[in-house]
Amino acid sequence: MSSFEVEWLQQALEGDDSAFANIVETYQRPVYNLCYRMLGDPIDAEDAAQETFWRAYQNLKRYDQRRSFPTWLLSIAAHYCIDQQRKRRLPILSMDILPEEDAPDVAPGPEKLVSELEESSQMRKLLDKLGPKDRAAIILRYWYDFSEEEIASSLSLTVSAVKSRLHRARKVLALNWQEAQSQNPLPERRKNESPAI
Amino acid sequence: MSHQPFENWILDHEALPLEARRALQEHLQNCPQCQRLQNRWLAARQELRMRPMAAPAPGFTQRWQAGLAARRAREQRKQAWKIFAGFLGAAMILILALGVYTMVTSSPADLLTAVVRTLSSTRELVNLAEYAVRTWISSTPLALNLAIWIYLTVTLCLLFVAWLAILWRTKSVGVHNL
Repeated sequence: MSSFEVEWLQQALEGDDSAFANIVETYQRPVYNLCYRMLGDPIDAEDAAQETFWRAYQNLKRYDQRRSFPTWLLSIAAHYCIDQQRKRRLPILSMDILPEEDAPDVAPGPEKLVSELEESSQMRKLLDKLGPKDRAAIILRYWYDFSEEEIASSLSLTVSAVKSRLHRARKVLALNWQEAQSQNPLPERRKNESPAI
Repeated sequence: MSHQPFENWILDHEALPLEARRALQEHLQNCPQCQRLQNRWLAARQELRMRPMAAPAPGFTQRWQAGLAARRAREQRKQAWKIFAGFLGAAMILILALGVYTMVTSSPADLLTAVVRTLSSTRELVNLAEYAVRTWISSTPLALNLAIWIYLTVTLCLLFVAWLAILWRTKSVGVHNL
């Protein structure tokens, strides 16, 4: 955490709402990304991210300052998304409203858009094969580079349970990788066809 | 052919000691099944690592602030209802306790006598007040009487409006620092 963030946190603990808004601005993307990867739907991810910040705001006084703040925040998001996942076992992906996945491209060609949608869809299908906690463990490991100890702390699991969940999840991902690829092959351009098609 | 512990090693490759890595490489050269598993896992892992962070739609923080204001208003309304219910409950308990106390400490005949006595003394009090008012009206000028009546009516109306305003404010804004 930067010195600014520490200061905002301190001010937020003293009841300054604008300081907490700065925290929201800083961490919106990692929190939203976790929710989106967990739930697979941009609208649900937005609601979950908003709920995460509300819960963090309500429980700010209970935050242990020896612990990393982003880890604590992501832990709240992960627990909320796991609960949501358990409530609805079959997430539905709306292909029309996929969120912006990177720094906005000034003029993405149709080919790039199609390719991005297909890749997102593949990733979605792949992650859908995992149970909520296994999925959270994989997301924290590969998107946030969390150590097994950090994942254990975030998901309220033991380190050995995290290891076993990661192992199981990797196997599922590996076994389903080819299936996801074959269901969504990237379109090959025909000879003499315009790259825009 | 046994694929253990190689299958585990493929999937937990990140924390593998050097010796195990060498043994795994040797096994992979002779085992197409494990090689397939490794290729698939490496491709899936690369895909996981390549996917960028998804970003929310612009204005996330503004939406959070608006949501915070709405939630606070909701919480305050809830708090006001809780206070109202608390007072109502306390009043009910008090009345019930008084009722029980009276029933326990007095006989039904005593209770009936007390009620009749209270009613008759109330009636006497009303008569006395009526007499006092009539005497006051007949002995003072009409203009002064009118002024007093207007003053009393306006004061009562203002008190009623203030009471309504307090009720509305407690319901919509809530009570702070309780």
